[in-house]
Amino acid sequence: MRKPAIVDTPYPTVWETAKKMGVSKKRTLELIKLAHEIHARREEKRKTELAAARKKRLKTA
Amino acid sequence: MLHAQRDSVFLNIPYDPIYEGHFLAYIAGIAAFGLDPRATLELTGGERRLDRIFKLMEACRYSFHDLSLVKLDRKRPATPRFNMPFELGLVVGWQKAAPSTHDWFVFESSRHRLQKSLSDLNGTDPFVYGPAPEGILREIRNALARHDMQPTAQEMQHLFEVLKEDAAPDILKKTGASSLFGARPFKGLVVLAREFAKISVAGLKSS
Repeated sequence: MRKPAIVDTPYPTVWETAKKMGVSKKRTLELIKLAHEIHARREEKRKTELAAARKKRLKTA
Repeated sequence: MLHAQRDSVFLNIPYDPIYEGHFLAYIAGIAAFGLDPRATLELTGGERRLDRIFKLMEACRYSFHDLSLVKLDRKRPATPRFNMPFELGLVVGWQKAAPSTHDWFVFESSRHRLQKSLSDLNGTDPFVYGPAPEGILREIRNALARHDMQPTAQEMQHLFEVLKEDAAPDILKKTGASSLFGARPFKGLVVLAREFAKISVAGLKSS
C-alpha cells in the first residue's frame, strides 16, 4: 500500500469553492440556505426518533 | 499551463445512473478532506473537449481515477468505456513528460481486476473499495492524510448520508434535472458538500 498524500492546504470556505466552480453569489446563498434547512430537518428527525425510542423504553420498563 | 489549484481533485469516474451513490461518496470524501472535486461535467463551451479536459486536469493537484466500470456497455453497439483509462493515460503521460507535483490514484471495486484490464499499471497499487460506495470513503482515508486534522470515518459517513438522502433529491428537484451527472447538479452538490463539511467535521464547526 502506498503512503497517503499529505494535504496541507487549509479548508476552503464555501465562497472560495463556489467561486472556483463558477457558481454565482445568489445561487451560493441559496445553497447555503438549503444546507442549513437540511441540517435542521435532520436534527428535528433525530430528536423525534430519540424521543420515540425513550417513550418505548419507558413503556416496556 | 495553468497553475494547479492545490485544493482540487480531478475526478475521473463513469457517469452512469448505477454509479450515483459512488459519485456522491467521492464528493463527500473529497470535501471532508478540505478538497474540491472537479469533473468534466463542468465543461461547457466551444473549445475542443480534449483541450478542456486537459486544462481541467492541469488545474488540479490530485486526480482520482475509478476504473471499476471499464466494461462492455449493454446498449448497442456494445462497446467498452474508454474514457476513464484514456484520461488516466493523459495524466500519466503528462506527469512523465513534465514531472510535476500532481498525485494520481487509481480506484477499483475488485482486487486483481486492474491487473487484467490494464496490466501496464502492474506495480501500481489501486485503492480497492469493494461493492458498496461506503468503501470509497475508507479508501480515500487510505489515499489522503491531512497535516492538521483527519476527518473521522463517522464524519465522512455522515456527510455521505446527508448528500445521498437529502441533498441529492433536493438538488434534482430544484434544478429540474433528471440526473446528478450534469454541470448544475454537480456544482450545487460540491458547494453543498463544502457547507455540510463545515457543519459535520468537528474541527471546522467554529470556522
